[in-house]
This record gives sequence, structure tokens and C-alpha cells, in this order.
Amino acid sequence: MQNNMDELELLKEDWSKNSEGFKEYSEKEIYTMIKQKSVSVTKILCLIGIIEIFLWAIYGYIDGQFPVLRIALFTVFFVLILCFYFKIKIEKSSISLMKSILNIKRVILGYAGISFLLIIIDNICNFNHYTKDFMAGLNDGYNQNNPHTTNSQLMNPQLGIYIIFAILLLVFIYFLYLIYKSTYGRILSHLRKNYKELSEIEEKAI
Amino acid sequence: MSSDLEKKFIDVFKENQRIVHKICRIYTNNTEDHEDLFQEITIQLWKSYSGFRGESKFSTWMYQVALNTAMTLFKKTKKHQFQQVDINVSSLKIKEESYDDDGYKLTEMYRHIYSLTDIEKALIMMYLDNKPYKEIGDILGITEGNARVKMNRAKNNLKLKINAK
Repeated sequence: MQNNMDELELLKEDWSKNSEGFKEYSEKEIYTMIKQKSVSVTKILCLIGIIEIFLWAIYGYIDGQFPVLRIALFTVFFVLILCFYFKIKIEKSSISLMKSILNIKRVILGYAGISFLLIIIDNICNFNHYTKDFMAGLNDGYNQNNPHTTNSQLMNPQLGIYIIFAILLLVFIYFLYLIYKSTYGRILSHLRKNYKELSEIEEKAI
Repeated sequence: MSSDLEKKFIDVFKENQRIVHKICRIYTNNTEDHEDLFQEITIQLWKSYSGFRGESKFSTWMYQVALNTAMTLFKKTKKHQFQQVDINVSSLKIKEESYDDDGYKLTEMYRHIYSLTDIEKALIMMYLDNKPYKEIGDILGITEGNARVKMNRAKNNLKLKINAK
């Protein structure tokens, strides 16, 4: 036991000796550190933007036409989000900060909701057409034809094909949902946390 | 979020930054993680600073926020932090010979501290810092008596780990 006590004393001695040797951060370095988080949120927003455009471009390439409407919708919302975001950074009081956070939350939620809903509605409305396209694609792939050789309108899918396509579609929609959740969902939860922290500070102040 | 508040925070943080370094020292085992945790704690302190009403000492408040941040991050990452210890047969003899060396003893003890639970790490760190039980209780949000009991358990646990070598 005595030996253990000696070891703890040795540790204590080393601890206080080592405490003198830590790196001393300057005021400028500390300032950079506390600003770092804002930069990383901007980075996440930009990253989401790039991923979103990239995914829609791939979708447009597969579908054979450029999704102008989607890209336009995205651009409008993305610019709005960035405007609100940069407004957040220059706000002074907690109340106006909270208002800006609420606005940005609404815009992000609005965009993610509309975007996701459009995908679902589009697939429901054009389900028959997309199933025929899918069948024509399968036919071209099976016969090793060039893409779009088979006329999809001449296809007559059977119940089994509809079911297979519906399952694949659900998997695709679920995959998109996961992407939205881990991107916009992440930003939303970050904002929710910020809002909660601010409202707690306000409550304490009152 | 005014620049005055920023300046005030930076001044008071700069004076007390050693506290954050100590917490990083106890919760991480390499320089890179130390710096990452230091930055994360600094950000959390800044985010919480507007809520600091001066009811306790700044250093006590700093300990609280910094420990909470470190413990939260520790919980999130400890599953991935499992360390593979490679046994180098050729170095065993050297280790055996240098066992009584203080440097080796200290390395081993820090390794044992690193393997303690998050709360035990915090307690041992405050023990090493000679913090009174009253302040330890304030920092951890427990009574002085409870802090004493928990401290004894943490120290005993550390001793058991040292003896199990």
C-alpha cells in the first residue's frame, strides 16, 4: 500500500511539473479557434450543395435530360439558406439571433420537404412510365443493345415487374431519405441545439 | 456575440487555459487528440460563456464545462479508441530492466488512468491538482461527502490497476 502511495505522489509531482510545459495559445489563436465552428457549418452547407447538384446531375444523365427545374429550385433555396446563415453571423442580440435561426430552419426544412415530396409525387404519377422504361432498360441490358434501343412505350410489364420496380424504387427513396437525414437533418439538429442554448440563456437573463 | 464579450472571454480563457490542457492530457493519449479536444472544449466554453453569471469562480465553471465536453466526447469515441498493444518480444528484456525507472512507472500510471472511466479520470485529475473536496463537489454537481467517497473509490480503482501489473 505504501508503495502505491509513493507512486501516486510521484504522479502528483510529475503532474504539476508537466503542467508548466503546456503550449500557451495566443489571443489570436484562441480567437481563430472560437470562430472555427462557424466555418465548419459553412463547409457542411457547401458540401451538401455539391453532393445535391452532383446527385441530380447523375440522375439527369441516367434519365437523358438535364433536371433544370430541380437545379433551379435547389439554387433558390441554397442562396436563401446562405443569406440567412451569413445574417446569423452578424446578428448582435440573442433574440434576433434566435429569429434568424428559426428562419434558416424553416428554409432548410421547407427545401428538404418539398424536394423529397416532389421525388415521391413524380414517382407515383409516372410509375407506369418509369416501369416501362425500367423494363426497356432491362431488355437492352439483357440483349446487350445500345442504351435506349428498345421503345419503352411498346413494353407491356406484368405484375411481377411492377412489384420488382416498386421495391427498387422504395430502396432508392429510402437511400435518398438517408442522405437527406444525414445532411439537412444534421444541420437542422445543430440549429435546434443552438436555438435551445440561446433560449436557455435568454430565460436565465430574464 | 459582441466583440467586447469575445475580448473578455479570450482574456479570461488565456489566463486559465492550463485547466483545459490538463483535462486534455488526462482524456487523450496523443498530441493530435489533445489539440482536437482542446479546440472542442474552447468552442464549447465560448458558446456557454454568455450564460456564465459569475455565481461560481470562473475556473470552477471552466472545469465544469470542459469536463462535460471531454466526458461527452469520451463516451462518443471510446468504442473506437480500443488500443491494440503490440508485444515486441525483443523489447521485453529492456522493459524488465527498466521497470524501476520512474519514467516507465509514470508512463504505466498514465496508461492506467487512461483506462479508468470518464468520471474516475476527472476525479484523479482533480486529486492531482490538489482540489478541495468542496470544489470537486461543485464541479461535478455532487455533495462534498459524495465527492470524498467517489474520490476514494477512484483512487482505489487506480491502485488496483497498478497492482494488477
